[in-house]
Amino acid sequence: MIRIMTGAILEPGERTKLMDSYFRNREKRRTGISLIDSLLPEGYQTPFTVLVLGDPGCGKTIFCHQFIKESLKEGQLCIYTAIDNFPDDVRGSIEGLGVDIKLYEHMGKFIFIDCYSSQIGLEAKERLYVDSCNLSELSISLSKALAQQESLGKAVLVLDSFPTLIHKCGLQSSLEFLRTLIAKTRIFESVCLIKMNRQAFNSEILSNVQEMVECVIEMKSEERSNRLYHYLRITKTKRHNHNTTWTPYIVLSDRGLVETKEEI
Amino acid sequence: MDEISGSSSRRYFNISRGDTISLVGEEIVKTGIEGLDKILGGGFPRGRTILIVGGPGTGKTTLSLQFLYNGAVEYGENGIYITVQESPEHIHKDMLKLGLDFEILEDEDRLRIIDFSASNYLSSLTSLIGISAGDYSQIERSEEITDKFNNLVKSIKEEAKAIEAKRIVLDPITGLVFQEPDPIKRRINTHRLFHVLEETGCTSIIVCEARGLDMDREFQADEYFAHGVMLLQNFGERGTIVRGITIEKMRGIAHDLQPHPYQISGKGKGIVVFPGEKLFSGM
Repeated sequence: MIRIMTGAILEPGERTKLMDSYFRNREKRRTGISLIDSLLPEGYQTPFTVLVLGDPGCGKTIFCHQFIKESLKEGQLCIYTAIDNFPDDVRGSIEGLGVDIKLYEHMGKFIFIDCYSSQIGLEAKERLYVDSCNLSELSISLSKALAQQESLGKAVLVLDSFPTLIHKCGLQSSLEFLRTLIAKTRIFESVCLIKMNRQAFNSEILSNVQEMVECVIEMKSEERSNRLYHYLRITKTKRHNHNTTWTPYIVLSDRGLVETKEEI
Repeated sequence: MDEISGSSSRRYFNISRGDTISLVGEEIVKTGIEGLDKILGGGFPRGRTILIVGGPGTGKTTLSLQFLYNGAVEYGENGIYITVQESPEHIHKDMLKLGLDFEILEDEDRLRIIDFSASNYLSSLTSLIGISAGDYSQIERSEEITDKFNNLVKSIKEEAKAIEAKRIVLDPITGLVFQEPDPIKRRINTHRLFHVLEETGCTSIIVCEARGLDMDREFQADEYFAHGVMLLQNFGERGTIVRGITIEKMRGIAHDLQPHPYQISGKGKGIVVFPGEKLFSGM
């Protein structure tokens, strides 16, 4: 018998069945972001938890928004856990990429979980809102949102961002929450992007989080000749071939991350 | 089939869906509270007395009244609510906010409220022994406490028989038992109360107030008489409250041992337990 992280109980036969379902051949997907697709030549399969790990200012947030844009185009349900920003600010940024976000919200294809408003004592306007210090309530809200995927297609979930949870709720509780979230992602066979500043924590914590996820996308900025240069690589993917080369890119507010051929 | 976990000895078993199930000789009574029956391993054992322990604002009364309401409305089991603290008027108002109309159930004689609340008790007692209202020091020394207790026992038996009750709630035992200053008499009274509830054949809840986060009970002996103990806790987490429910003990039932989060929701919901969710707190 195995107790999976969400508390559900599985007998040995069921466990095998569940694990088989993880690994059996499924349709391979493309992210629709050429920079990533060139590094993941065979695509990816769900469940897929991705740690978006990068320096401040290297475009982690806009990358998540770009991923949302492409997923919405593919008809997937997108759930955005806004911990660091007002949902309206996130809406504005995604709209800047040319997405009619309100239309998708009206169709029920885009759901916000507002964890930000309560932090500054404002009343949340979203249907799902929770105090970011209350990880139990956040976990319940995420389950409610993920449960929508049965009728609305596979979900893409964004946690923006994980370091704030650590600062507000403590390291141990936050890591435990992340384990549970990843388990839910696996059960629902969905995609989960976890945004994290790679300079905010020591290597022990970072490697701990990297161990938990299926894929790590690492982004860095380097200053040369009075200018910042951005690079991205895929450090790890489970069960998928990937290119580990640092690849240069530029950040465009209306297009997101774009591969550059510029000699650096 | 619902899969329910075993105890630490790794027992596990299957429970089929239905109003009642038989498990190691125990018939199960569903509480009808969303998520709670799942962590209980189906429900409460029939005819037994369960202690609900919790601090202020944890939803003890709400949970108990939901147990009675669901019993009468969903499962055709009449109930008795013995209130020691709140007046019946307040209970009616509070439950209406949750969409539970107790007055209709009382009108249909599917539920009766025995009023042992302080206001009712004091008005009857002050007129009886001629002391000023609110003067507890004189009341606590009075032999009338024993009479009051005897009246309660008599009322429970009579009312339960009159409406063929299957469920009883006593809310809370703490106030009732502490009116008796003599510890030996207090223990005898507590034992007698548990015995009377079992004699009625009803499945009963006794509510017990806890002092703080460490769940210190004013009086521990009651747990040894109870067939099961359920803890409702509020954890203060950096400016917010996290609510958790734990089944501490339930004889004969292989129940879930983990604490789970619960919410006290608005109209029509009341207590909702999340058996598939983990409790994140500094507990």
